[in-house]
Amino acid sequence: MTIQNQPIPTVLLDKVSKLYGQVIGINEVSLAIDGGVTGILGANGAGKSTLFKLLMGRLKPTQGSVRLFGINPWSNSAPYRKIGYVSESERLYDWMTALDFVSTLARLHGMTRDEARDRTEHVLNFVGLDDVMHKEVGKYSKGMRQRVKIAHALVHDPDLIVLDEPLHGCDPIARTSIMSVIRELGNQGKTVLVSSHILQEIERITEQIVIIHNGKLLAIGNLHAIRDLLDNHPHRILIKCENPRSLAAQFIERDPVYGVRFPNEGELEIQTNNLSKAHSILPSIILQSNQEISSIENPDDNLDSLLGYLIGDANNG
Amino acid sequence: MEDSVDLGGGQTRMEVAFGAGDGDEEASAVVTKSDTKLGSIFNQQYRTWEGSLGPRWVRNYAIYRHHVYGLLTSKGHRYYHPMVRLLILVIFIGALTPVPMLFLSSLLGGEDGGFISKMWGINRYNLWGQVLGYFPRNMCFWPLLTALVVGGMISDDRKNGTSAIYFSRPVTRFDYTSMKYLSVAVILGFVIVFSYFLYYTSAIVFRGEGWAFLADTLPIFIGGMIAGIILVITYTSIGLALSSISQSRFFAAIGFLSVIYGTKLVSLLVELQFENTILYIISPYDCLAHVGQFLVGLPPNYDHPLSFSILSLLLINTLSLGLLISRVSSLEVTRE
Amino acid sequence: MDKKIPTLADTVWTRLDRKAGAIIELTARQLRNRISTWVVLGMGMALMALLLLFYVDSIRQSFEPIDNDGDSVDEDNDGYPLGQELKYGTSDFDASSYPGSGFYIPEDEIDWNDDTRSFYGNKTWNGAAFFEYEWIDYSYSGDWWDEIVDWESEISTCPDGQVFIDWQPRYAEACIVADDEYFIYGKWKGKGRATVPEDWELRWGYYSQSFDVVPDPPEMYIDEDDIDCFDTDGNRVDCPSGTKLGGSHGFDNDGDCLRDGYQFSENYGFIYDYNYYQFQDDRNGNGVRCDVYWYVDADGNEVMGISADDNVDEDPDDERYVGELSHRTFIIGVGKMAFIILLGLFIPLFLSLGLVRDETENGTLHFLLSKPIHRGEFILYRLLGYLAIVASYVIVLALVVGLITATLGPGDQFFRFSDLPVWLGIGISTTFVLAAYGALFNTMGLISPKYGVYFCIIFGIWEFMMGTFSIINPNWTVSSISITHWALQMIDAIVLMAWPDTLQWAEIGEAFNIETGLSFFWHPPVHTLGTQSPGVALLISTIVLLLVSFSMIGIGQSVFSKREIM
Repeated sequence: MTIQNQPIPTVLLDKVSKLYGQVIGINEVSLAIDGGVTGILGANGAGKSTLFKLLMGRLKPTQGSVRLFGINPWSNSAPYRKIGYVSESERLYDWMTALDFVSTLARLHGMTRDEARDRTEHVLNFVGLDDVMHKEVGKYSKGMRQRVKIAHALVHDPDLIVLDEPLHGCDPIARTSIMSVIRELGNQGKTVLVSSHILQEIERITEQIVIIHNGKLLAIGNLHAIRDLLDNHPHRILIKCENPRSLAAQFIERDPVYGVRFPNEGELEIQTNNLSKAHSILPSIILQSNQEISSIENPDDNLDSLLGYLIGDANNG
Repeated sequence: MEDSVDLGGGQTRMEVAFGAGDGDEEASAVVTKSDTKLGSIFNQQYRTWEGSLGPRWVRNYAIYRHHVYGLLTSKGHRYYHPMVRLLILVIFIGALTPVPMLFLSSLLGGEDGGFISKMWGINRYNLWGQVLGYFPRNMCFWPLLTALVVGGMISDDRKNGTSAIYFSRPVTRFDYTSMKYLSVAVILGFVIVFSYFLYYTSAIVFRGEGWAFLADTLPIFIGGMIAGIILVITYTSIGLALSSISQSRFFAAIGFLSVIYGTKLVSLLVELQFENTILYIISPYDCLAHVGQFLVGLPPNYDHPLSFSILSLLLINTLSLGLLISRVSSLEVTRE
Repeated sequence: MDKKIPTLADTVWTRLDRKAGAIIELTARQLRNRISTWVVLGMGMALMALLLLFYVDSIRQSFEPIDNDGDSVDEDNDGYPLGQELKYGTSDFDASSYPGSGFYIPEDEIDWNDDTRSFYGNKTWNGAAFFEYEWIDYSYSGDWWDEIVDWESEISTCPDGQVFIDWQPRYAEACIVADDEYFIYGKWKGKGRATVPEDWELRWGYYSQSFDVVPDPPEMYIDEDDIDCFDTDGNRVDCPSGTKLGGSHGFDNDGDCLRDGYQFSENYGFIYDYNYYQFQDDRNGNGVRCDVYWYVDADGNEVMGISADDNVDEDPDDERYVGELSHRTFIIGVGKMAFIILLGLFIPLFLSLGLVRDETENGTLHFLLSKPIHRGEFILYRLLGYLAIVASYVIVLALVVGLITATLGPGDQFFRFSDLPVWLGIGISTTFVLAAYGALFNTMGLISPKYGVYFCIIFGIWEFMMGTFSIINPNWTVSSISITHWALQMIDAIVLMAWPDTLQWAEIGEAFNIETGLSFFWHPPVHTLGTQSPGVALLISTIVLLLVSFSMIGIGQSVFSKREIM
């Protein structure tokens, strides 16, 4: 992530922080993204939308600088010529047809009415809405609405496409078609940013991911590499119970657990290198032990909690 | 397994429908958390509730209190915008301007005091004007007050879906509407009628008036008070009706102002142009003023008979209440 | 997608043009899809329909002639209308005083310092005296204001002592002094010798011979004194006179100023001059009895004022004057109150506040702002979209009302073409107001999404108040701190430009009791920089309104472009 040399990357964030009053939205994020599909992963409130809004010039960074194609997007609409943005907002103009909606927005790129119409029909066809494009958006299902939003972002053939939770609230069929649209865009060589809080969604689209947690950049790079790294990272689980030693005996027999500790009276700390697996065996052991458990905690606050969330979702989902 | 329903969370449907979340929650049902993965059927068992319900008036009083106390503290009560609270205070103080004037006149005595008490003292015209005078009370104060108080009364519930909070409890739509009505009327009544009352009593206290004065002016005072109550009722009816048909508090407020000012201005235009006061019957303010003049015993400013104004007031109130009732009874328990 | 090769037409301007077109169209369609738009615009139309209804009604009846000076009444029911009584100088409150009735002629008196203190005769007496009577008219009723001794009640014996020193008689009192002598203080009629006590006085006179005057029908006193103007040669011409605008005009057609039939006494002038203290037959003080003086400005082409002597030209022909005047008053009143204040204020309150703010709240703003468009541009185009709807609405509405009233209006011509510029001007002024308020409310919504609406409501009330005050008195400086004031000034100026004679009409209306409200609704434009030119006033008002609009857009865009959008 060296920033100075090299040709200008499409997306560049240099030590960007964003504070909402006392609350930190994004904390010293540095990032350079160019080409292909990149998934932005993070739990709700991790700062994905804040990141995108910084990119789109909706918010002004408290510190650091944001560059799109080398241009500062804050109060400058020039980069939008080459950007398509799908916001997380659910509201559309319900009274407009998809064709009207997208072509009106296309005209904001300076197209004539006819050009806009041609392009609109083209992109609506691309996202698979060509047969319903004369229907009012208000009558669309959620998946169709998401595709209308994507269509509007694609109508001017942008080089960078930013999609904020494009799969949110869609049914499986819509998901599949939206995912294939995104993959197709990546294959065309465009830079695509997709955010999600579900790892397994991103998994099906791309292997290049960025993980954000509590406003901080946690991981960046290939999904599988990150996953292995995370899995092999030692984790701790803290259990408070009546008789920690008898519980420990049962844990130590099982596979992912490689150590136990008794930090305090009535507390048991399990050490594992596979958090998800450890969590999956946890309930059955507790049930067998017939003990009353007062709490289960993950003391490592950075990766673990996120992983418990992301990977847990991926395994169960 | 994208097609599985997310059964986690234990959120209620209500929270999903009306909660002020960021939209990221998945819809969920009220069920116990299941450890099954492939699917299962939940037997929903409904039991009758065996608790005892408090008396109806207690429930209704809670609604009423919720709205009225909200003006003083928004903790646990209806939220009134700080601007609204400030303006209501300003209007109330503005309505009480004669009181310090009377105090001044009692301090000064003599010629100055006599002038002040002539300008602000108790007489038919001043008692009428305290409630029904056009400027500034009915041009600036009362319509603004009503617009501010009434604006979000029902429209907020429609916009946010908070009517469900009432209708999911043992509260009938009639109770809901009548308590909202009462709350608005009490707030308006406090500012309009109570300030009138304060004005009258302070005049008696400051000037040390006796029984003879009381006997002379009490009928006028009561006439003015009845006029004030009719004004409160009429403004509340119109305002709530507008609030019930609109989806934003602003629309209701502006709607109310445009009804009051629009009808007044048009009928004034017609009077000036065509020397015909009949159109004043469409102006709620002028109907109230006409009836008020009768109640206080002033010569009327209007050429048309008093019965027209009374009829028109009845009609305005009936129409407004009819609109309000029909809107509330068809109010959907969702966010509109 | 293949990259388009920019053609000649594909310049920056055409691109801007397309963006503007798209947003304007979007905004207009958005407004069209809201019920509240139709409710508001529909109410505007209902309002106009209502006003037209009254207008048509008044057209149907108001050309019944109006008795402007109110002299066709007969208050005392003596058969003679006030106009006729005025001519003869008799009272219309006293049935015994009528044209041709006998009237009292004073002859002589004994006052407090005369030496001879008694007089004998058959007279009508007034004062205090010991009266040795030969005959007394016990039924004498005097004039309507006199207090007459009530002879029917019992007259008692006078108390002992000296009059005024020992006892004090009241007026209209009498008492018996001797068998054929009364002490009387009051007015009475009788024959005998009157002796006036020291320090008291007594006047006497007689009633003239009565003669027959045929009562005029009351209709004769309606429209009986038209406005008269003369040219330089003294020939009567239509008012205002083309060749001689200023100077002495007017003629007392009905004779109630000249008062030829007046009963006149050599000694006492007009005897029954009921209006003596108010009435002046040369009120304008130009030395000509019973005329009307027209004051003109220095160039002599504009009437600055009209001053009529009392009862001259006071009951003009309504067909000619009231019709025209009230028609103009209607246009001005509707333009000012209905268009500028009502439509101009409430349409923007309903429609413009949320132009950008609602988009922010709904989140739909993200779609629009992720396009290469400057936020300032965006505000401007949104406002233009709103104006596209409301401006076409008010202009069309004004022209439709204009067409109807121009067809129905008074005058010889079939269609009053001279009205149309005024109606168009009303529409355009309203558009300027809509633009100014639109920009202002929109900006308020942008500056403070939370408090903006409340400021808008309060500001709306302020504007409403100032608008009302501006109509009544545009010279009041405070009211010029409002947008309505300038728009109303625009109308005042447009009216004067389209109908340059409005100034004269207003003066005529004022001077000759034609109560049509023109002087209430219309005043000459105020902000003329001392030139009195309506063009200057129009220009200044337009500039002020445009300035407000653009500065508001500027403020709005500078606030908005630094706004973080969540």
